[in-house]
Amino acid sequence: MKKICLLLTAIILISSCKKEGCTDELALNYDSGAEINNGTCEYHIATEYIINYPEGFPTPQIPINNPLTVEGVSLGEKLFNDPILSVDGTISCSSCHLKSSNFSDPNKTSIGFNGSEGFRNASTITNSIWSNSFNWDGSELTLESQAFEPVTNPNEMNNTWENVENILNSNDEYQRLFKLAFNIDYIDSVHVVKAISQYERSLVSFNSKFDKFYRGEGTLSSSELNGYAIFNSEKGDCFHCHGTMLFTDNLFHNNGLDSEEPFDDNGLGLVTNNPADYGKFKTPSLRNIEYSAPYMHDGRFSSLEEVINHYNDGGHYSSTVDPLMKKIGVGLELTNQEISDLIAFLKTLSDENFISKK
Amino acid sequence: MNNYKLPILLSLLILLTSCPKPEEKIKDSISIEFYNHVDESPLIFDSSGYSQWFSTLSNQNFNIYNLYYLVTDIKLTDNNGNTLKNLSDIHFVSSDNLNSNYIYLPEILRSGEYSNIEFVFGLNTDKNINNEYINEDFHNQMFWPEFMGGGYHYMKLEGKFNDESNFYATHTGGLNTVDYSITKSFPINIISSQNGSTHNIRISMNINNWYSNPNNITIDSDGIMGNAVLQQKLKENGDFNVFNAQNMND
Repeated sequence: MKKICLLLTAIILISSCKKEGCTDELALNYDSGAEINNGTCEYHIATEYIINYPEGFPTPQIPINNPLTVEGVSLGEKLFNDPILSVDGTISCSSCHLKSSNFSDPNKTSIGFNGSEGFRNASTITNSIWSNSFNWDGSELTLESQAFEPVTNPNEMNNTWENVENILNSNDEYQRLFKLAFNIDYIDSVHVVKAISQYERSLVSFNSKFDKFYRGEGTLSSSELNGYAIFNSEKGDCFHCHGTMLFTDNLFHNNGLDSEEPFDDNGLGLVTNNPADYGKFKTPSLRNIEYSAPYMHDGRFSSLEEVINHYNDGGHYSSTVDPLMKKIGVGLELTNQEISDLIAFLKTLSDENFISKK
Repeated sequence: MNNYKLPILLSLLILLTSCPKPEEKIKDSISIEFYNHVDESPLIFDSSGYSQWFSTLSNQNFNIYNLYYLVTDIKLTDNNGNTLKNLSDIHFVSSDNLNSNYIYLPEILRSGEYSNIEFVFGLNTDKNINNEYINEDFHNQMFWPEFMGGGYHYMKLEGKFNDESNFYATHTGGLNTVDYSITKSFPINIISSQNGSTHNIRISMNINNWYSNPNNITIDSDGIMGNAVLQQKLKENGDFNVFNAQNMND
């Protein structure tokens, strides 16, 4: 009996000597001297990231379970540019979505793991906060779900999410950043894509020469103004698909690229399995189009001149070509001067600060 | 004495609870169908996304791929001419979404006799404001370029004409601040008894009549948005006999 009493006393004495406090190194009040966690750890509360967008833009659609935070966007940017996500540490998101190319790929089709080639030109992600479908074929409905795919695609990063999670969880810096952004102790794939999506949603561009003109802060040249008029007339008829301040209707069209059916790429039809959707692709925004070459889903056109010539020549009839291609096979009959003016206008949509911003 | 109190109290309670309650009135509901047709044929799209081929009164063949339009300010009025209900501020009918052919307004009508229905095809000047509906699902599809006055298309009617390789786009809207919207009014007989019944109203649009009466319009591949003469002719045709409305319960 005496022995038990002594033992208990010893245990009480020993445990009472241990210092209590916050023992979590990721907490704001981490106490390196504490040995017993007394539940007082305090963590950083992520700061709301506010996007101030100008008049004429719709309210951005931000998922309620992934609000933008300063820490989340910053972490997303680091992940976006880090080849750590790929199996051999060579490919990052930014390998195919280059800032200098308006976050699209200057290659016709993107080059992924071990030099393997994708089958489409990488879509731009600029202003994707105002989009409700992603990829040329609309195969993903959220940025989060889109971000899951390239990591495991054998032609892109060729990795596994288990591998990515292991690597990130063994990285002290990422552990700290995920704690700051999401207050999590274990980094999982869901939070990786959440962070990347937050960064992508922060990529907003609305300060081009045209925007300044629209806001009454600048002027356009006579050539640019004439191009603006052609763009918004039914002669040029660009606006039906590339209208609004987003310069896209965010819808899917067959714009007469090919006449031969079956098409090499069925686009939206691959997603819906509806033959009526074969050959339809999502309308890209024309914002920063000057930087986004090459053009179309397969990067077939290397310049804006080639794009306009496609429409000016009339394009090609097929069973799913959009009725908005009213002059199919005939063409818009724009003069060289009008083409030149239209291109001049399109270049006013370039937001140089956005592209060059560090 | 106390022995009598309990039975009396119980009897009173039974009597009170067994009394019939005044009948609860449930307002009547309204269902509006936007019925799009070409003469006797309802507008139906096949697996290609196109309708069957039709023929205008001038014997020009056309089919339909897209039909989008905006209807605003649907109102019911009573026998005294008082507007009793502003049923719908703005409604987008889209051939991409068959549900858009219907508006259901549950428990909206009090007792009374309603003798007239009125609606506006398109948007009148008060409503046709640039970016006014920027967060609505039709904004991207229906906006009208500021360069042509801004606001919204009233209608986009698109398809093929003459043969498989010719496309047309009959797009109507207010051009450079001129209001081409069409206000239509039809007699209708709705008696609401507040018994929870649903009154089914059909607003019909005979697409063929856009191209005839009083003006014959030839369908071609030229855009018409900036064509004030054609916008006026389409307005006149729309005003003449494109639309109808009826109570389907009659």
